[in-house]
Amino acid sequence: MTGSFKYLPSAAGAPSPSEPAETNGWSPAGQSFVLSTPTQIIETLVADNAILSSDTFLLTLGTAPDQAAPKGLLDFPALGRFARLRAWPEPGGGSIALLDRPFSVHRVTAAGPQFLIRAVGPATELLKALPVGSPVRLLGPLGRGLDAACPDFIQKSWYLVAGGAGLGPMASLVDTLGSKARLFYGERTAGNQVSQWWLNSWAGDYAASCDDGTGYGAKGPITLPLAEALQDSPRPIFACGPLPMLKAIAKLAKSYGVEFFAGAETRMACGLGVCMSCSVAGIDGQRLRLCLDGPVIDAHRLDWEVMV
Amino acid sequence: MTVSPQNEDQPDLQVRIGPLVLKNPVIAASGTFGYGLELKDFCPPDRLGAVIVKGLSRTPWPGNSGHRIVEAGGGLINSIGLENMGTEAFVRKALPKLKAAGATVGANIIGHSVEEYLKAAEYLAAADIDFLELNVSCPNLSSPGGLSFGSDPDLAARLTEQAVKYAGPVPVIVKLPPMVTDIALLAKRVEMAGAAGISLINTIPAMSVDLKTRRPILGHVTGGLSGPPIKPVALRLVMICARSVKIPVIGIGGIFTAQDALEFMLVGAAAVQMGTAVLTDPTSPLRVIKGLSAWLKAENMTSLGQLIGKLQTGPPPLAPKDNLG
Repeated sequence: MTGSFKYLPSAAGAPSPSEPAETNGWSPAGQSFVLSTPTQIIETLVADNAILSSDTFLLTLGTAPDQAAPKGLLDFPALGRFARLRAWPEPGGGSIALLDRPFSVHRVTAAGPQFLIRAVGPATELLKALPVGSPVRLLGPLGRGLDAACPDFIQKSWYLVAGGAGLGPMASLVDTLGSKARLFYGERTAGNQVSQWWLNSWAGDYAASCDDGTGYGAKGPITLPLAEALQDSPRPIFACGPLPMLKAIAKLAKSYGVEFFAGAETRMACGLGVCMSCSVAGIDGQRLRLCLDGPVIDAHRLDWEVMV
Repeated sequence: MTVSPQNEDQPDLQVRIGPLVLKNPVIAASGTFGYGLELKDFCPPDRLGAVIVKGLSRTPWPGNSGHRIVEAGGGLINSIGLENMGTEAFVRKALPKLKAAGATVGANIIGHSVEEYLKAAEYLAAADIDFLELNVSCPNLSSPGGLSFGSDPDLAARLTEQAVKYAGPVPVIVKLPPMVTDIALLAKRVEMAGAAGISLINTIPAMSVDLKTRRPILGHVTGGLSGPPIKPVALRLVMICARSVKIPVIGIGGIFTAQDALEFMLVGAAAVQMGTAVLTDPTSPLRVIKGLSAWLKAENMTSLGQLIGKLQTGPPPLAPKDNLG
C-alpha cells in the first residue's frame, strides 16, 4: 500500500549549527531570513509514504530519484512553515476533501519536502493511503517559521516540545540547531507513538513521555520532564501540539521567565489570510491570523484563557 | 501565475449590474477574498468582474470564538462571525491599493442595527467604492443583524430604501438569505426599495456535532453551509428571483466550474459569485472565466446575454414524427 519505510536525508545534509542551511530559509548572515521559494501551487507526486505509528505517517513529496523535482520543492523553507496539501486528483475521481489541509514541513529531503501527518479524518486517511507516485497538489510555502518569529533563534539553545503530531515541524529545527536543541516528545498512548527506531535516527538526545505509561518514555504528560529541565537549566521553548499542552507550557514558560514560541494550530481554510478561520485571540483584544501571523508565534502574545 | 490578455476574437463576457459594467460575470464573494489583494499572486483582482471584500462594519468586529469552520456533507460550514477591520481601516489601508490594482470593488456591509448599516453605507459610499452589497443574510450573528433583517421583507425593504439614500450615486445590491418563506416577495420588495441588483444565496444555516464529545464542532454551535451541496438550492432560488424582478440577479452557491456558472446564468443570473471554490483553489475564478469564453466559442455564441434566463420549463416541443396531426 505505502512505500518502503526509509529515512531520507536532508537535502543539504545535516547542517552544522554554525552553518545553518540556506535551504531552510535561513540566511547565514544571521540578520534576516530569506524566502527563496515564493508561495505557489505545485503539482507533484508522492516520493515516499512511510508508516510511523498506528495513525502517523511520513509523506515525502517530489519525484522519482531519476527525475528532477518540480521547481521550488528542493529549496522549500521549513522551520515551522507549512503547506496546504491534497490528493489531487483524488484516487477514483472522488471528492472526499473539499479543502486542502495544512501541514507543517517536517524537513526538506533530497526528493522534496516531507510532512509528518496524523490521520484523524477522511482527508488525512486519504493521504495516508496514497501509494508512491500518486499525484498531490501543494500550495506553499505558507506562514512564518521560528526564524521569522525569533530572528536570533540560531544563537540560542532551545527546548523543542512536540505533543503528538506536533512532531511535525521538528526535524528541520533539530537539523538546523544541532546540539543547541533538546527535543521533548509526548504522546497519549503507545499506539500513537512513532517508531523509536525512526526517532533515534534524527532526534538526537530526546526525552519522551507517554500519558498512560503504555509506551516508551516517562509516564505522564511531557510537561513534567520539561519542567524538570527548566528547573535545571532555563531555556527558550518552541512547542507544537494540542492547545491544552501549549497553554500549560505557556504557564511554565512564564513562571521560569523564558521565551516561548508556539507552533499553534487551528482549523484553517485558505492559509492565505482571507477567510479568518484561523483567527485567534491575542492579548489586549487583538486578533491574530495563525496562517499569516503564525503558525510560529510568540506565545506570550496569545490570550490562552480565551483560546483554550 | 500569468494570464494572457483577452484576445480580440474572444467572446464578449461583459455584463451590466445596474449602472455598472463588469468586464466579466465572475465576482469574488465576500468573506473569501479578504480585502482584495491577499490572493493577487494567484488571482489578480483586476481579472475578475468585481471583488467583494470581507463584510465591513462601521467599527472593527472580533468575530466568533472557538472553531470557525468544519467540512460537512461535502460542503463547508463556517461561523467566522464577520471578523473585520471596520470601514475606516479598510478605506485607509486596503482600498487605495485595491483600486490602484485596477479592481472593481464592492463593499459588503453589515451592522447590528439599521443605524450601523447606514453609517457604514454612508462612509463607504463617500470613498472610492464601485458598489455596495447590503448583507442582510449572514447566519452567524447572535445579536441583531444579518439574517434577522433579511428574513423580514418589511425590514429588508426599509433598510434597503435607507441604504440607497445614504449611498447616493453608488449602486446598492442586496444579498439575500435562502431560508425565507417567500423569496420572490423579498426580492420584489428590495427591488421596489431601490436596489440595483440582488445577490443570492448566502450560506444555509447548518451545524455539525461530535458524537464522541457530545459537543457541537463550531464554537458558535451553528454556522452557514456553503459549497457544492448548496448549489441545487441556490439554482432554484435564483431562478425564482430572476423571474420575479427586473433588476439583475447575481447567483451564488457552490460555483466551482464554468459549467456551474453557466447553469446559474441559464436560470437567470446576470453574474455569479465564487466563494468556497476560492478557498479550495485561489486560481479557480480565472479557470471559470476562461471556461466561459471557451464554452461560448464552442456553442458559436458571441455573448452571455444569449444564455442568461433562457431556461425552458414548458413542455418540450414535439418532434415531427410524433406529430400525427
